[in-house]
Amino acid sequence: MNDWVLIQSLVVAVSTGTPVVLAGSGAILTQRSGVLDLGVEGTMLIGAVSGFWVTTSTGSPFAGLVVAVLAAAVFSMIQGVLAVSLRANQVVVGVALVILGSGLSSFIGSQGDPPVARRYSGGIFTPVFPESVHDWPAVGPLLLSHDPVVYMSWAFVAVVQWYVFRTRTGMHLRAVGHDPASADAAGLGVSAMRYLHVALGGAAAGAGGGYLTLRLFSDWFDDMTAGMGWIAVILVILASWRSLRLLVAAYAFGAISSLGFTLQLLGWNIPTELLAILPFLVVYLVMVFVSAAERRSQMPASLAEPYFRESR
Amino acid sequence: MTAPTVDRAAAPSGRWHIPITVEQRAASRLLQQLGVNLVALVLAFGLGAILLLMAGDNPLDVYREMFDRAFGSSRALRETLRSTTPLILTGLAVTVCFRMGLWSIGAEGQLIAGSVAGAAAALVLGPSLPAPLAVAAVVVAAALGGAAWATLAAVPRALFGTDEVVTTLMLNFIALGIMNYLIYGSVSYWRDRANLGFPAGKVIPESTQLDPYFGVFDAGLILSLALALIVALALRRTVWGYQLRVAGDSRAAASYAGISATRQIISVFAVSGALAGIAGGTHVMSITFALEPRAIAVNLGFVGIVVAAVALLKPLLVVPIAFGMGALLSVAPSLSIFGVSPAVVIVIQGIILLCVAGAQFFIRYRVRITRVEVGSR
Repeated sequence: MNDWVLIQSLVVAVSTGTPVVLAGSGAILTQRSGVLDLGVEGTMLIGAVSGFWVTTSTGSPFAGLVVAVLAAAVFSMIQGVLAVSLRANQVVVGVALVILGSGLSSFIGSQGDPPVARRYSGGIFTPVFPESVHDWPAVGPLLLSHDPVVYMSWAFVAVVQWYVFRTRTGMHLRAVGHDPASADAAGLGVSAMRYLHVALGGAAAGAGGGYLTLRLFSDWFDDMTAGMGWIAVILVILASWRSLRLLVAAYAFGAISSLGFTLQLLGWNIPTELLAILPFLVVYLVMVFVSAAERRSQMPASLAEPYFRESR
Repeated sequence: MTAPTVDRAAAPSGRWHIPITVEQRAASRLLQQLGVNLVALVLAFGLGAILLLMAGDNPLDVYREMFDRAFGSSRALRETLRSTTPLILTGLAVTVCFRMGLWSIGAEGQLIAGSVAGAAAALVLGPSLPAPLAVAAVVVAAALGGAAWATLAAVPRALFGTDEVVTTLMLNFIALGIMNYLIYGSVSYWRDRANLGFPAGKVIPESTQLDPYFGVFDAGLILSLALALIVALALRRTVWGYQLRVAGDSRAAASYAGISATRQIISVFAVSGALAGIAGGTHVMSITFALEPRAIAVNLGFVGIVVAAVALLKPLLVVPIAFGMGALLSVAPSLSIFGVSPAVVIVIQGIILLCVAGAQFFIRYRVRITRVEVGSR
């Protein structure tokens, strides 16, 4: 493999992995608070379709991204109410949110005149730095050729890492996810913390969905996430709830998903249907191997367990 | 049973007193649970109506049209019952796993594996066997295919504790990818080689195509009803079912009683996978008549989760709930004829599952307006 193919493949891996970086980092915040939001796939779809709608109407991908983030945050509040206040089974709620997000986004896509699903892209994110910079050896394409959302995702990863491990609120967040009863006794608002971080996770998933329609595909179609949201949730587990590790995992996912692109550059021909299986197969195998080798899980001890003050 | 506990979380001391008390119920009766779920269903259709209103449709007209298209004629009823069969089976598959506290969301992939195996059996054995034997062979092959696919999640779960939510999900996508590859990505045994147009599955022999009795229901429905009865009896009357329920209530109690978790997890997953696999087999024999990815991967496994949850994980209740969901599913495609997005049906299913999940709160807890006695503090 020559250098040019390698570098182009890495660039594509970064853009393919970016939705997962955003949604996954958000999911880290949600899961750190003790709520397992499996609905990320549905939340991303809501962000994707609402962002696309706004951009086709306004021509501004930035306006689209903002609306994608807000719509997804509001959508994720369903998870908040059910998981935190009504103490519902979070696996069932997550599956329900994926079904609802899939149906609702498709429904929204059928609205408007012409319907959102039939519109052309109203504008996409473009690289931040001028073309001339992209040709610099290695750093040019790898670091300087990206659009603003990629740089925002890097900043977000850094902020999440810093927030979770280096701030007082982050420590409180970990306490709430680990041992809500003690956190409660120490005077922390368990429910408020959980609501807030479910919303933050939803917002980040919305940004990831928005990136699909406003850059990666520059189009909206039904169920376009095709499992990316599920992958984001699972990579959080593999990354031991740390955003820097998640970044690496998400780009590895991006590289595996865009392997078809690389193989095409190399002149190989492998059926796309088989390549489509690959990321899921790799995640399955890695999950099995990791759990077979694992000694001590770093999972927030109260993940997916509702907290009820009286039953402690 | 635990004694009722009272949540004073919402009742802080001081002047501002929110007059709501949440109490854990000591026990809840089935009728009460059904009532709460009924309210959840009504709420779901109400929210669906609001969505239709916002889109500029008259919800009453849409719902009346849906009802007509689901039950209005014997042809409509036949389509509804055809959709009911796989939902009974995936609903049972989910029920068996969830009852043990195994959160498998793999019915979708197991159904696909069952379709692939069932279609293979139909294509290989169908031409040479008499009809009843050929159908039986398809059912057995589909069950084995689904069970084998479930084993891929069960064995890591039993041996290493690998999270079953993750593995079953990934296996869903892998199964879908394999089915797509068999039809769209290769000239496989399942693909119709005579067809030079858009790739399609090879039509199964007539001996394996299920004819409806009285033009309304076919053998697949009878099989699914029988299996519902068998699962209900197995859960209630057999050692296997008893141990499953014990493990579902308390894993610790089960292991203290000497129930082998490893063997139990694998057997429960295998039964669940076989049920979902049979759903794939009957779906091929009764609706698609070929390995047809776009007609097979229509979320029957996921809707099975909705069915099982609304049915409160009771095998016999799965049947009527699957009938209702089958009606919803069968009318979805025809909605677009009169200008309503078929996605409305998916939205309603999602809301139903959310409402039912949320409603469990009102089954487990009693919410009361507290009388505030003036001067008591």
